[in-house]
Parts: sequence; C-alpha cells; structure tokens
Amino acid sequence: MMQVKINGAVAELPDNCSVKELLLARKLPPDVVIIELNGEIINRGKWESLKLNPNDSLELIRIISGG
Amino acid sequence: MSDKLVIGGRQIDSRLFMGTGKFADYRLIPEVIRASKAQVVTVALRRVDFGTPEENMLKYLPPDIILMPNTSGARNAAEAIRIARIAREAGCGNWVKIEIVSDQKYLMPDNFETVKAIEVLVKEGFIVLPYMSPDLMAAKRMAEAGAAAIMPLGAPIGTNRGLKTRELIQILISEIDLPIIVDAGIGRPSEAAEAMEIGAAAVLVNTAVATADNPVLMAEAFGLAVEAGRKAYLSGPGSTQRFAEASSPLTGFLRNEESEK
Repeated sequence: MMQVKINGAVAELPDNCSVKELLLARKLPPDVVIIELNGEIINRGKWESLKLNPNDSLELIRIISGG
Repeated sequence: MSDKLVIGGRQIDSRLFMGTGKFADYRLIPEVIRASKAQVVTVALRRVDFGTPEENMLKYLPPDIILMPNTSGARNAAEAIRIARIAREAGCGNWVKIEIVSDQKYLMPDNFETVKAIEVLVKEGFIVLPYMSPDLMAAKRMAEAGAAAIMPLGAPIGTNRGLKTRELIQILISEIDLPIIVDAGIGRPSEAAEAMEIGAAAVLVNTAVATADNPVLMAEAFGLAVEAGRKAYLSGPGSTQRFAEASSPLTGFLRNEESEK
C-alpha cells in the first residue's frame, strides 16, 4: 500500500494503482471528473496507463451548477 | 433593425445570460434555459464530494449554448487562473467568468485581483468576462487588460435587491467601450428591464429565477423583460418633465362657451 493525498486528505491506495482504478474504487463515473495530479491536469486518455506514486497529490474536480 | 451582441467573436442572440445554481433539481435547468431563451449559461467547478453521488450536470445543458464556467471559490488571481485552466481542459470552452471573492459577508468581488487574472488569462486565449464592483477606473483597467465584457453587480450576489448600483453602472455604460452586463442582485424582471433601458448590453440572472415558486415561468418573464428593455433603449425614450403635458390636443374642447382661437 502507499499513501497519496486526494483533495487534501491522506488516502491509502494499492501500489501501482492507476488513475482509472482509483475512480473505479471510489465509484466515480469518469465523465464527471477532472483530475489534477501534482498540480497538472491529466488528460483523460492517460487515466488507464498512468500509475500513481507514493505521496502524489490528486485533485478530483467536477463541474456543478453555479451562477 | 440589426441589433446583435458580439462577444469574443461570437454572436449572442439572447441578452439574458442564465446561471444554473440553486435550482431544486437539475431537471429544471433545460426547461429554464428554453423558457428564458438564454444562450450563455454559467457553471461552476468544485472538488468531488465522495459522500454524495455525482451526476454530470452538463448533460442537462442544451448543446447549442455557450458555456461560461465561473471561478467562484477563488480568493485571488492565482486561484481563479487555475480554475479557468481546469475548466477549459474539462471541455468547457474558452469563455470564463472571473469571480474572485474574499469577503464572505457581501461577497464583493476583488477588482484588483480580477485585473491580474484577466491579464494572464487573456494572453492564454480565454474570452474573459469579469464580475466586478462597478468602479470606472477598475473597469478601465479590466478593459485595458483585454476583458471581452465588463460585468458589474447590481446588488450583492443572491440578494434579489435590484439595480442598487444604477448610477455607477450608468457611468460604465457611458465610458467603457465594451458590453456592460449587469451580473448579480437583479431580483425582478422589471429590474432587468431597467438595466437594459439604461443601455446595459445584457443581464445575468440566477437566484431570482431559481428561487421563484415557478422558475420556468420566471425565466420566461426575464427573457421578455430583457427584450422589452433593450427595445426601449434602442427606441430612444422621451425626456421627463416636472409638469403635465397633455397627450390630447388642448383645442376644440366640447364645452358650452365658444372655442378659443
């Protein structure tokens, strides 16, 4: 297991977890999520191949209603 | 008469811009947009909330609208710039409403930080529409920085108090060579019409529609009011006077005495 930060909170993930696996584990429909990894936006096409590393910082963002 | 609003090279057919916040149900949103005829529609970005199921709100928006993500939640230029970049990456297009607020009581926009954000985002190709406190010098700086329009508040966000800043907005309309869009505070269609009558290019409403008992009907009312106000502005209203001036001729009255020559 490894520790990463997700939206500011520490989380435990399996080693070599990909971004896509993280979304599946958290039951997040991929079409609603935007992902920043260590401050950089990760293109959707890379979610499957991109493996997370210990101490990575992830921001999971969504579009909501607003004025 | 041709009367088109063009912002960022796009022709906008409706001068009513619509926010999507505070609706009791996302399913109301497409009906509200249809009833209002709004073409520019705002959305916001937030962190995923793992506690509540996520729904893709974009699927409720008609495909032919112009999406205008806002940077709400940003407290300074850097945070607003980050949100704008994320929104564009997420497929929201290159329009952005800059909204930078650090005052939690009145939610007053920070004009100084907003100028900084505009300077950066315009260089990155964004069409930037800043929400701002109606101050002429700040609006000039925003125009110089490349803003595509200026969006002064009519009253604090969500207050439904109307065009409290009317005099200041009139100064912007007369001095700034960009569309002036009244954003925030408009609570009634009559106030939207008033903004349009004094020469605003458009009006952005959200709370007034979302908190009405019948949001769809209120959306339609706002659409009609904005159209009416715009036509009134274009028609060149007559002047006001202190004393009465009869609308009917003051000769040939049907009286017993002889008519005066």
